[in-house]
Amino acid sequence: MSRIMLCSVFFCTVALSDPAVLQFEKSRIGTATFEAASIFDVNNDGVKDLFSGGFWYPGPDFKTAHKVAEIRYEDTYYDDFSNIPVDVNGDGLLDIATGGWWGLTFQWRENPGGTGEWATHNVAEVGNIERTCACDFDNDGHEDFIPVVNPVQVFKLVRDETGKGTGKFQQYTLTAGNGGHGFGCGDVNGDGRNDILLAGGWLEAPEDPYKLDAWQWHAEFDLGSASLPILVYDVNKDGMNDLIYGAAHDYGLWWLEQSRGEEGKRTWTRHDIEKDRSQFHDLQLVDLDNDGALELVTGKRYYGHNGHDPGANEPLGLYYYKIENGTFTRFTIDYGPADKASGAGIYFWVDDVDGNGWKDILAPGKEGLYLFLNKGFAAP
Amino acid sequence: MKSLLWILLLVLNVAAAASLSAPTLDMLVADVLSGDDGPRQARARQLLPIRGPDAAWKMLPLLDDPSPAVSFTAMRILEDVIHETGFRGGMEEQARVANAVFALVVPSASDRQKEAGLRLLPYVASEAHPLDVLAALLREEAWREPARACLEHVHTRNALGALCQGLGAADDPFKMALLRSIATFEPGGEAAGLMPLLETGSPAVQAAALRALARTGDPALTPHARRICAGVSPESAFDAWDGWLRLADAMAARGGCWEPAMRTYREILETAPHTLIQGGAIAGLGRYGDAAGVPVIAQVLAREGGAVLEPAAMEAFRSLAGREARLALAALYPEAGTTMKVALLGLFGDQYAPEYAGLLAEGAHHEDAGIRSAARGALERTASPEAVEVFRAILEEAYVQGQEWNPELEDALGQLRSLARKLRQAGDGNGAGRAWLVVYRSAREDTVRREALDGIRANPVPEAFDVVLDLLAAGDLDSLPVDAMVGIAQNAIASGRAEEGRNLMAEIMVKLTTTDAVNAAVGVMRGRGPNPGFARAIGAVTRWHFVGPFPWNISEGFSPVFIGEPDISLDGAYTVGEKALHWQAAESADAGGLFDLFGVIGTVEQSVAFAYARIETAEGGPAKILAGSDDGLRVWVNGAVVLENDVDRGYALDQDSADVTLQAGVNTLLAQITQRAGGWAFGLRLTRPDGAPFPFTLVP
Repeated sequence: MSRIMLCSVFFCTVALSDPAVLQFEKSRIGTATFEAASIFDVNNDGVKDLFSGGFWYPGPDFKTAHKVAEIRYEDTYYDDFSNIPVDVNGDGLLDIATGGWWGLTFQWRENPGGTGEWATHNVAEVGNIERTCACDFDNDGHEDFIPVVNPVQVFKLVRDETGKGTGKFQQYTLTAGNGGHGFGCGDVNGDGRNDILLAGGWLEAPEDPYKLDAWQWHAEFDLGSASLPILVYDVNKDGMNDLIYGAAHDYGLWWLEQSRGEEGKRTWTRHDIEKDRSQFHDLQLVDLDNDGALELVTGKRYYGHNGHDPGANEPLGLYYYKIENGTFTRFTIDYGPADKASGAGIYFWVDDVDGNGWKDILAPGKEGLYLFLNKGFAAP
Repeated sequence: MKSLLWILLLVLNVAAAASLSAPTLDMLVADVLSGDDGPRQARARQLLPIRGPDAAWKMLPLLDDPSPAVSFTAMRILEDVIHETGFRGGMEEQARVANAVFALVVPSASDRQKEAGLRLLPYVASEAHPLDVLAALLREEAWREPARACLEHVHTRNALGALCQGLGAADDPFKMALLRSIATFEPGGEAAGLMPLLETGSPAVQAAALRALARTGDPALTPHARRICAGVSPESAFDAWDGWLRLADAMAARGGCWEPAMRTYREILETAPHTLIQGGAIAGLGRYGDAAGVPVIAQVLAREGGAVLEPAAMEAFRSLAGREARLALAALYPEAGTTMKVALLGLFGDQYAPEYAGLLAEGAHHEDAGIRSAARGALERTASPEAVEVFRAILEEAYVQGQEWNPELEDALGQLRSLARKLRQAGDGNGAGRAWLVVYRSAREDTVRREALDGIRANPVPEAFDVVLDLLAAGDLDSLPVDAMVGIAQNAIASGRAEEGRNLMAEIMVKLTTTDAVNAAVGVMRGRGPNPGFARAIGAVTRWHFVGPFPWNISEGFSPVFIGEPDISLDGAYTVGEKALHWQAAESADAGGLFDLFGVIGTVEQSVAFAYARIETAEGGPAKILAGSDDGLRVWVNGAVVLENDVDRGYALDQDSADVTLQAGVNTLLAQITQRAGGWAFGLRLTRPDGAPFPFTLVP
């Protein structure tokens, strides 16, 4: 009896001391190993579907794979480093904006509206694309597309008077700045405009973003081989946006605190989030636990450099981090070797795919495509 | 008369055929029923199994035969029919045999038939077979246990359904047995049906239900598990805790519930009263967990009596992967007790990484002999160059301190030898070379020293330079082969000790007086790229004028005259068919002075070419021509044939030799090289009679 009472006291202690944690139902989708994925209603049937590289999987069971296109395959990489849903040609169906390292070309794949194959349209050859990012370059409420190369190339979807896409893109080149591995988009200086973050500094958006030579380069930091995206977020709630970024091909995940030094000069201080886990290539800020605050969601990109990156053969992981007062607390969703666990790939997606009110995660990668259905908080 | 004989023969044939025809099924069944008639039963055992389903049906009543010999034989035949049809039969035959076996377990079947049926059903039941008949048996006191075991072995979804059906009418002990069977299945839709048992059953049944449901890995079971384990009776405590542990394992294995699983392991570790369960939780933290598990496990080990969990902890630590885990284990080491330190050092050696280098080096010098031994043994297994430095320090320190040679130093030397071999196997030639160097310097026995020299020869590192100098100074040139010395000298040059390396090369060059020595040196130098300077240093003629190809027949030998040889003029032109051939100069960049005539002349067969060179010597005198060719070769010196070898061969250095006398001033060399088929090559060098290179200059 006394032992039982003692145990009961301890259970309460354990249950109360650990913070609530989300539980997910994990399932492997198909057998493909593309590194990009997204969730959207492919066939306009009112049910969200899964899309990854060369296939899409109709919801709600995702058991069938419909071929999208033959994706170029080079040296274990598919030439498809992003899957951004956007209705490019204004036909009411979401198409895919993409691009890759090997093909050098910003492309879009046209949704045929059935189960047939999608046509691929080359927009422009821009060089080896590390990933294409979506960013509202001109603050007009529409996402623009930035296939990350050096110098910065911006592709704006040309829309008609009703706002529908016309199938054409307008290309702009920002010659200022020193690109590299890493890209972000957000308001660094609090002027309400989306600035552009690169590994070696940031480009300050002018009042008219189309005055391309007016973008001002600030070489204020060196992020190394940084993630795509570099996130812009006020981590410590001091009113100044900070940066969150990972080492895309090395160990480390950090946030860079923005402060003001002497005479109001902007300074940046790096804080560790992770020191001994590697290859955080893609990051997102999402309210995963429905508490009204954003969590950082990220994970490892498996074999980003075919096993040559530091820590390449170490366990994969998919994580979310609670952010409070500048402190990041890691919650592991999945962890383990590549034949069992999932990372985050180069372009993962977060959305409530099953409509239960909790955001789910679609995590692609060379280890496979995994869907993590968010089931809310686990029983304590 | 003739026709009568034919009729007689026909009758005899028919009779013989009738006597040899295959026995009927009934005849074979009669054989079985003959009971103790050995040969007849043997015939039946052999032939009935290949009669398929019909034989199976015939055996059913025989199972009830009062004679054990009959019933036993019938059972064996039934087993063999199942095997035969399973292996060779078609789907229809298999289905008919299955039907026969299912007929054994119908309510009207005898006890013996049911017993046999329950033993045989797992071999014939498929996913499609309904198993209601077995579910009914679960309700019969006498048959429920064998029926349960049968269903567990059948292991189909219907079997799982039948087992779940059986729960309703079962008493507590049988409920527990059923739940244990259910726990062996992959989780299915039955889970919801079992949930009520978590709350309504006796503590023992709750524990068994928890164990059966654990395989779902549903985190929602955690509060149930906690409650059941807290209220468990002593008899069913292990089941309950095992159920909770299985739940954690299933949560971890299914993915997406990593945090709840890890929390469960930690909670079990803190609260479970059984060390086996605690060990299981530790194993789970290792198998599925990350570095955060290391301090948790360490805390458990530090508890009173926690040492008993050290083996489980070590297995868990070995399962952890990644730099973060390695750093956590390295951080754990200083606080660990001696036993754990020894075990950790073993792990550090087996899973060597830079994070462990310092701890292994420190351990190798530890005052505790056990730790010292473990660290040195681990270092030996690392196959890391860092380990070589540790052993070097140990052995040099002993020498500097004037320590008596003792078994521990002998062990260290042995471990270093083993390490050197492992480094070589791992492809780390530099590490191996350095290790062998330390072995050489520390060796107490000639056999070990010789082994070390072999190692140095195979892995010539710049650091071995001094060893070579020592050997040269001692005139001990046999200890280290020429190729090793050349390799060491070249490595010394490459690593910045250029002057010393060149001096060593100079010392070595004067020793290159035999073909073997020259060949070994050329082999090393060729591995480092073009080097015409070295070729000249060994007396090779590296610049010739060539002309060819001239069509030639093998049978002609050296009898035809092609260019008026030996009197030739470099201005001469020769017509072959419609082609005019001229002399052309060529130089060899090869370290041995080799000319590939395919490159110089062209790819042909059944041809000859000529090479002409002029050399100038200061003094003249006796000399040796040393030449190699693919294929045959004739050489004139100053117009006189000195060497002639009409042969079919591949090229090697110095294949032919001839004593000649060179005159002071200019001498002419003319060579005729035949080509039969395959490769075509040529090289020639000049030495003094003692093998030293003959000094000469090339005349343009």
